[in-house]
Order: sequence, then structure tokens, then C-alpha cells
Amino acid sequence: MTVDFPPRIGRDAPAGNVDRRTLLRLSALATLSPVLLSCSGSAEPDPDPLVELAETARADAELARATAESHPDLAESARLVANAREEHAGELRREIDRLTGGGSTTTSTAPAERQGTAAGSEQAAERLRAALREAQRQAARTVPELSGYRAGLAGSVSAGCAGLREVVA
Amino acid sequence: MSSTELSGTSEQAARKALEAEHAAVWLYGLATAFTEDPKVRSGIDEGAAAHREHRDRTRRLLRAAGVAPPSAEPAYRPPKTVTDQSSALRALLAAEQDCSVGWLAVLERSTTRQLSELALTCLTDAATRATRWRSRLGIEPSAPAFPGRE
Repeated sequence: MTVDFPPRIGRDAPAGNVDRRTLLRLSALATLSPVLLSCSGSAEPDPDPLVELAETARADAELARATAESHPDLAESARLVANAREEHAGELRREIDRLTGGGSTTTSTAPAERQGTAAGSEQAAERLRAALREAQRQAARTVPELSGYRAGLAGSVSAGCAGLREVVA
Repeated sequence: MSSTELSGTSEQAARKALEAEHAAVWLYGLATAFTEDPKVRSGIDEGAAAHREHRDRTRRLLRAAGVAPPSAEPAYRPPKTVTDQSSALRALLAAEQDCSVGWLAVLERSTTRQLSELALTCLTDAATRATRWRSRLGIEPSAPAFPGRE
């Protein structure tokens, strides 16, 4: 009598791989489906996902500048963040305008919400890091919706935010 | 297996990115011989493990797409001779930049979600480590706005 339980684990590598891949593909589809649903509703593509990224970048730049002013010990790193996020906003805006012919409008409600002076430097640094962490995720989430240069732009913004988080340590 | 098929340009970009990962794995191995600081050493070990993982994931993805992954060269030449910890870290910074450039190119050409996810992970990791090495070396600015464009 041969005991063959549990079956096919760690013995049958090719089959195991295929299963895992199928699983991955299914889970990729699961996360995709809301996007597909929202796209199928109208012929017009959804609002440019880069608009949101540009607004976040602008808000982060303002937050970083305010942080640099109110917390001298964070000034150097906060200014670096402000400059980089300003660059992100500018480049994203150029790409958005390139497609729309400059007709898109900005709705910036985020900065006011996120302003205000944090008590200590540690809190201020944490707030900046949290903003960058969210910006990194937000840009990463848009990558699968984009292609070509725009996918690269969103990906580079996301990776750039990850790098900036290291600076505000 | 249509979802694992790669377009010609994305395949070429992924092959180039894999070559950059091979070079990074080799250079991280070289760098360990020149590190004195235990903190730097643990950063190097971490980076080496990450590049090995990225290399293996890229190989698997290419094989699944029916593409023979390029193999590693016996050795790589750093931009400048490595003689101590500082020059070793400069070589690692160059390796991370090469990986960033390679993975951004993949991201711009990818036609599958799986490849895009891998490219973004590798680009993000390379950018993060490059910033750490720049900070350690005192290179300003330590975090470029657009990793992969350097």
C-alpha cells in the first residue's frame, strides 16, 4: 500500500507551477474586474488617471514646503521632497495637457485639508512619510490602467516617492 | 497561454533588464569583500537577496513566455575600479541605476499585467536602494524625482 497524501505537493513541479500561475491570473482578473465594469459603462474613457496623481503631487509639494518652513531640522529633506513632487506635478500636467490640448481643469481640495502645523518634528516627518507612502500606492495603482510612456511615467513617480520616503527618515 | 505571451519589444526590454539584474547580483557579491561596516554589510546582503529574487522571477516569466532567458556573464566591469567600501558602494549605485533604467523601459513596453507588476516592483526596489547608497555616499540629491531616467 502506498500512502499518497497529500498528493502532488513538492513532487510535481510543472503541474504545481501551472496551478499557481492560473491562480495568479485569476486573482489578477479579480482585481481587474471593477475597472472593466466601470469602463464598459460609457464609450468615453474615464477621467485621465494622471489628473489625480498630479493633484496629489502638487498637494505633497505644498505640504513639504510648509514642513520645511515650520521645522528647520527637516528643512533639507522636506525641500528635496517639495522639489521632486513639484517636478512630478509639472511632468504629469504636461502629459495630461498633451492629450486634452490643455483644456483640463484642476480641482485642488487636497492641500487645504492636509495643511496645518504638526506639533513636533517627528509628527511632521511622519505626516510627510505617510503622504509619500500614499502617493507611491496611488501611482502604482494607476499603472495597470496605462500603457507606454504614461505607464512608465506613473511607475517612475511611484518609485520616486518610494525613494523620497527614504530621505525623510 | 496567451496571457504569458510577450510582445517583441517587451521581450527585448525584459531580457535587457534581466542582464542588469545579473550584473547587480555579481556586483553585490563583489561588494561584500570590501565592506567593513556591519550596517552596510546587512544592506548589501539584503540587496543581493532582492536582486537574486528579481533575477529568478524574471527568468521564470521569460521561460513561461517561451523565451530563453539570457544567462549571466562570468564577470562584470564596474564603471570604476573597486578598491574599498566607498568605491564598492559607487559600483552598487551604478548597478541599481542600470536596473532602474532597464525596468522603466520594460514598464513602458509591457503588454501583460504580470510583467508590469514585476517591472514596477523591481524599479521601486532599485530606486529605494539607490537612494540609500547615495545618502551613505553623501551624493545630492539622494532621491531623483524620476528613477529610471538617469
